Amino acid sequence: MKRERETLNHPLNPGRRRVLVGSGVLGAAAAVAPGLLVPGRAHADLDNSDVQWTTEQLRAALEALRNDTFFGLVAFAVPGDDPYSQQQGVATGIPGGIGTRADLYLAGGIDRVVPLPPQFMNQLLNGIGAYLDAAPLSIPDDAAANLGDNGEWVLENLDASLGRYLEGDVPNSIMLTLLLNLVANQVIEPPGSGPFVAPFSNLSWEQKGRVMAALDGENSWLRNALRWTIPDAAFRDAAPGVLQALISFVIRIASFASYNEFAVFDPENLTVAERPLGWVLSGYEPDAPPIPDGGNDFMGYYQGRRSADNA
Amino acid sequence: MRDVIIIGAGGGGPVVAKELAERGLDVLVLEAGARHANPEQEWSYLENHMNSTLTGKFRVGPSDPTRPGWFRELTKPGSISQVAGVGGTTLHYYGNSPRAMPGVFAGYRGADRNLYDTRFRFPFTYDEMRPYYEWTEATLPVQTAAMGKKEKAFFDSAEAAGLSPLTGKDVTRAGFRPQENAILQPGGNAGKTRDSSQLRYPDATGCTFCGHCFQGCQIPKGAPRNLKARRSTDNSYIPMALTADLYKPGGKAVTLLSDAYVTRIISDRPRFSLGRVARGVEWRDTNTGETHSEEARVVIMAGGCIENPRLWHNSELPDFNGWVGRGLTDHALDWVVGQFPHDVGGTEGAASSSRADFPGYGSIENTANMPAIHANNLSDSNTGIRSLYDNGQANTGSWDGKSGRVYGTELKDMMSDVNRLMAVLILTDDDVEYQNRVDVSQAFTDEHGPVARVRMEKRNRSRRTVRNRNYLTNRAAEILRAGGASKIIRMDWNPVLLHMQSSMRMGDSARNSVLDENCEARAVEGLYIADHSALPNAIGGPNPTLTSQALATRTAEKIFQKHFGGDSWVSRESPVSSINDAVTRAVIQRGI
Ligand SMILES: Cc1cc2nc3c(=O)[nH]c(=O)nc-3n(C[C@H](O)[C@H](O)[C@H](O)COP(=O)(O)OP(=O)(O)OC[C@H]3O[C@@H](n4cnc5c(N)ncnc54)[C@H](O)[C@@H]3O)c2cc1C
Repeated sequence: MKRERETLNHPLNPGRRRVLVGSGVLGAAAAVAPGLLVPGRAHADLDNSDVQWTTEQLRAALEALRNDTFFGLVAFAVPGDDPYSQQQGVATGIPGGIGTRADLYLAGGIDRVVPLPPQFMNQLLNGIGAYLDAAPLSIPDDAAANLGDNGEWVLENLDASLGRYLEGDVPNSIMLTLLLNLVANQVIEPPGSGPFVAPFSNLSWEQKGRVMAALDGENSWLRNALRWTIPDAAFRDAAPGVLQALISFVIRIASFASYNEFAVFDPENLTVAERPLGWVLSGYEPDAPPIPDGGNDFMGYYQGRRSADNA
Repeated sequence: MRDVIIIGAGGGGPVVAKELAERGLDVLVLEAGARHANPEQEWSYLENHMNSTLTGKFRVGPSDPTRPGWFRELTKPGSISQVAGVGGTTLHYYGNSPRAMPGVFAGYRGADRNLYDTRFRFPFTYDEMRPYYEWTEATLPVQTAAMGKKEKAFFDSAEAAGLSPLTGKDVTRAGFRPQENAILQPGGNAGKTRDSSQLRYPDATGCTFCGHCFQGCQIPKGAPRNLKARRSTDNSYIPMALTADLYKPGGKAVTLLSDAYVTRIISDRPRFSLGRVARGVEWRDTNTGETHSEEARVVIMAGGCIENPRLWHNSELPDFNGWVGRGLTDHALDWVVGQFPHDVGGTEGAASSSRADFPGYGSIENTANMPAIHANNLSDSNTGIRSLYDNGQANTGSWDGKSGRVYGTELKDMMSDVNRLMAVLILTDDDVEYQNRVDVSQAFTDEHGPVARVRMEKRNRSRRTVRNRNYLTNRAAEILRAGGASKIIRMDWNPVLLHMQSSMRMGDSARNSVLDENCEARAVEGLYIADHSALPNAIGGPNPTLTSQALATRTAEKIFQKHFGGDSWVSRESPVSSINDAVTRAVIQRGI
């Protein structure tokens, strides 16, 4: 039985539309629930439940997008022999950060680094939308056309689910994912295409650098621009610092994560189950595990001095 | 009612606690973080497990690792390296315990006197400070560091760059030297073997060269807590404070409560006075959420440079001259790394055992680091990513190419053998600057009130601060070059808040200091500060903890004299060392 279709009588705000398409959300959603985007199926033939993204589906789509984006980030920091490193044109013959699963570490970490209140997150995301409205991405107006006859409707629907999702607790990693991909679209014209759902991960290593340049540093124009779209004065003042905390966290921690032990940590015995890849890559502790309680590097005292003179 | 309540058991709080416990006062110590009573069972040598700022054992957050850490707002790019817990940030520290530069004290007459932060000197002389240094150095105790491969490489490089060795505790000219460290030096098998079965106490004593200072010091395994090698306060002053009744005639053990977050300093306003009088504190049990309060004759803040201003504001204490939280110094840290064609011991031994000092400019020191922190430190910069962008701020100098983050294949190459890296930490003699401050956030609140907001204006530092930082980074690069480094990188770090001083500074002028010359708050009688925030300046660049501990010892004497009618002791008695047999017996007897 057909249910009454939800009336979506608000026009889809162009900024939000760009968020959906430009950030890769639409692509990720299509990957998670391909049946919802069958080209050629007419709007009128569809059951509402066919085209209604559940929050669960949307969450899964966003997580897939995040994972894809963070793989691209980690390959940017410590390239390896994986497809993400190959796509960026900077790869090496041995594993890199992706081999250590630094992506998982980053995603888990970034959600904890700044405890953003939901209102703040919401204002920030809306701010990103509003900003994009004023500084459009080069997304073709007919981006929804290849979704089939009901492409527009699909987008509206996705937007409605995103709206609902944003009213809940949005993890920082998702916000950052959207931001990185949107900026990827904005600084690289025309946006590149490639094998990955996340636009960021399709960029070359130099192009990823341009995305970071737009977000990094004290005087990042983009961070400052986003700030002005936030209505609450206290949040507006805090926004540049908060965004910077997130950006510098990912840049720095992508490296920390690539070389630490977390992936092989043995919590029972408080040691490593095997030698972490980061230690292999850096030549650290060739014989670990176990990790010895000391070293044998003691060579005596400089000029035999055991104490300094006290005036 | 207690005699004294101390807020915070980090670098400074335990010093006053132990000193006043030895005088027989009734002291309550409240620490927001965890206790860490069983390091050998609970700690590891692993970087993420111990040091993750989000989930590690050593973080600013509650003892339950599944709960989020305590957030601080930073207005500009930067990071904060602190620890909440008994031991505070000394759980992380490297034990480097140099004295301050004499030039930062009142009455200094050296030819280089104008090179220092002349507006904000100590309100008393270096000669007055010296006995407190000696007392603290004997208590910890401080010893001259042993040498391994990385120290030898550093000394050879410094000599090749034309520097000569320093031999005294007082720094009077530029030169290099082994660190004066609050670390028990190797004895028995320590430093001679990697066979753990031979490294248990008492077969091994002191530093075993394990290379894990950053992960907290739990070696030698099997040693009583007060005989662990590195003298973080959890291994030195705290065991003494908890046993003062046993080893010191007339002493009284302190009461230590961990997981106790002080949310308010209770004060009265006497009639006809604008100022206040401290009466006690309120705290929250971070496990149960229950709140408690207790009164005391004297309240001592020792929550560190960030939490003290927050607590002050959240307690609505007066800020007459606007200097509460102002003048934060951070040694404008920077990092210069040389990649060598051969092994220079980049990960081995105590974290830092060699240094060079440049009076009027600051200090530099060689450090050992595990791989992840090396990679982390190579990925922090205010000047972008090398070869990609520079935020319009590129620096060039004696190093190779532009400053900036090392990333991508360049990072992977630098990291390909960590033992070939010599990392030099830059400790700038930076100025007390009004703009650099801690207050409270307008946007973020946690269960303990509005959180701290930290402003460090990296791009707007004083000319002297910038000059000193550039001077030291160039000197470091020259040393690395002279030693044979094939590639040298200067990072130009964002503020890394790891040495913090002077956010609640003492001073001789009521116009620009929060504390008087005895470290009592000018606006609140009976309220003292005994940690790094009380320091009047950046002490000339040397690592700050010894100086702040010596100052806290002096403050303990002032409190005892003013509020409890006692006499001073530092000039008349001999200190008990924290490794004295009587203390060891007391620690074992009490099961600490
Ligand atoms: C990696 C690293 C290496 C270092 N190496 C050296 C070195 O070699 N030499 C040196 O001199 N310095 C070193 N330092 C710096 C040194 O550790 C700090 O300067 C020093 O610990 C600061 O002491 P503090 O008492 O001011 O603050 P902290 O040690 O940070 O202690 C403050 C304590 O107060 C508690 N607290 C805060 N607010 C409250 C509250 N409201 N209620 C209850 N408790 C509260 C905190 O939880 C904390 O335990 C190093 C630091 C780091 C991070």
